[in-house]
Amino acid sequence: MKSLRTSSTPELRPVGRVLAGLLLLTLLSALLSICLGSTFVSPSLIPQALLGQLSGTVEGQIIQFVRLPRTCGCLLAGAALAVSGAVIQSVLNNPLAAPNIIGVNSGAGLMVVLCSALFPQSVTLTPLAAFLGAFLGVLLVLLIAERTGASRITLALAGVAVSNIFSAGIDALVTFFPDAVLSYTDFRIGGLSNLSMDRIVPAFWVVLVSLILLISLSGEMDILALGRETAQSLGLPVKPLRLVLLALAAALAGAAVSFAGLLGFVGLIVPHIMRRTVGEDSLPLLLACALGGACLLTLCDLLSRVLFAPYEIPVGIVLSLAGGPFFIWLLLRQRGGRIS
Amino acid sequence: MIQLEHISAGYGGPLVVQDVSLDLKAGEVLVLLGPNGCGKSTLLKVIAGLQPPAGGQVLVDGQPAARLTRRQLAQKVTYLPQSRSVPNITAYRMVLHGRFPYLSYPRRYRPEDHAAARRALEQADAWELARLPVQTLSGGQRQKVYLAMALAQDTQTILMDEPTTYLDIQHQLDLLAFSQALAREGRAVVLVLHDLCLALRFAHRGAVMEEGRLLQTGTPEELFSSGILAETFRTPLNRIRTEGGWRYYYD
Repeated sequence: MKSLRTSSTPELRPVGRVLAGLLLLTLLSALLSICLGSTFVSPSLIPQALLGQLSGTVEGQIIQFVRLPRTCGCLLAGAALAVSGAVIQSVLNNPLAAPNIIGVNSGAGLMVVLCSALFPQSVTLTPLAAFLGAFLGVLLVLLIAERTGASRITLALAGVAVSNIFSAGIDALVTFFPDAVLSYTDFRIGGLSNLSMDRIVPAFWVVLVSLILLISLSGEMDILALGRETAQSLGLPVKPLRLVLLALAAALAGAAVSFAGLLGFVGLIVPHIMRRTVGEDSLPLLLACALGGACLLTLCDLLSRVLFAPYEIPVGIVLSLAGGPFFIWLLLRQRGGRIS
Repeated sequence: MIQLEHISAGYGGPLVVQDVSLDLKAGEVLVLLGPNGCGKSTLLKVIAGLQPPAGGQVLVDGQPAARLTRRQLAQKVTYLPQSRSVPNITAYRMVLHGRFPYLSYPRRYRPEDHAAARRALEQADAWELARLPVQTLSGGQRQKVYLAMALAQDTQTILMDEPTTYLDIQHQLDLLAFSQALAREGRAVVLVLHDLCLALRFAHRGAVMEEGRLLQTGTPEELFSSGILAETFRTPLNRIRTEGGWRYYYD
């Protein structure tokens, strides 16, 4: 029998190094996001701007009121959507499940538009409304999965149907309340222009609390990944746990949608890449998804600003243009085109 | 150890298991036998606490299983389902998860859990697979890892639903010999098997079911002699004495 080092735990991949690399990439992308755009801002000005020492200058105004909120929004929305996707895929045991595909994002979007139409002045209500919409979406899909024992493809298709119903609801609301959404195109495709810190802060707390709770449940998520029957036989209360996890995933997706609109692909691509990079142990996977999602969205947003500067395109377009082909390539490379 | 008292069970429609009473004994390999759809797997799920009984009760060490928490039950009964998810984790990590019922919050594995996982992998002759991702293992290797996971769970009763499916004959023989070894350690091992000949060769006792009812229990010799197997499976069964004991075969 081969001898292995007895003191160590056999690990799939050098997870620590991957996480450190992702953290570095995320910090770098955030720095680039603050510095680059239609006007270049020197990195050396950032600490002064953060300390309020540049409040009278143009650079200070750009950093404080434009680049910083936008970068924070990218980091937050990217992390939230990627972790939400990883959790939903894990709970539904379905690689095709992602917040934008199975109706979670559009459910959140519908409630955000409804909330904006009914309470146009209330910024703090928006994340709550988004959570309720996202949770409704995720519950509908879970109900379909539980009642019909639907296959992965059927479940994804049912999610697409749910998503389309919610999207039709958004269109109808915007038709009747055209002022409900400040920039309809940005909201439908996903965009982070015109962000202010007061729109991000309520979502920040939702994301922070949800992430902490998810990390504390990562041990349970590992067991859930072994399959329902195995998890139950290991003493896990599967049904209540699935509900809690999906509620947290909905809170994350809802928080992102509340200020970034219906961003696609982050919640689908990032968990796939990270699963292949760090494996399926939940704790490193959640951390890697948070960092990877934050990094990806920040870089895509940067591209959306600099590609056609001084004009910019909604980040959702860049995400779809970059993410779509990449995802198809990934599927073809990994499984010969089969969804496993 | 575990007693089933007048167990009935189903999935909302007609009962799949009806009025089954059975004792699972320490040191014994018990095989549930019967045609497809006779309720063997459902009965196994009832014992594992995955399917609530519609009637009757399961007693674990004299205590009604319904009064045990899911975690307490998991410290007494291990269940290996027929189909399992294969996550992208190492074999070692998979086996370590067998220790989950013993963890309190925040569910981080302790040194004694790592020691138990290593012992289990060595006992299942799978330590050399520890660093490999489960997804890259062959069917036989995966089965060894699942067995190691069951050993790490360290329960007195081990239930396995169709554990030989997709295994070649050598791995089937290895697995059944391993089940006997587990019984020799004093555990109760319950198997659902479709291969009647292998089941009779390796079981200490068989329980024959048909249409949800338990028809007869007994040693392989008793079941063969009574003719119940040929009647239930509607296939003539023969046997031949060898140096290793009776071997059963179909005509």
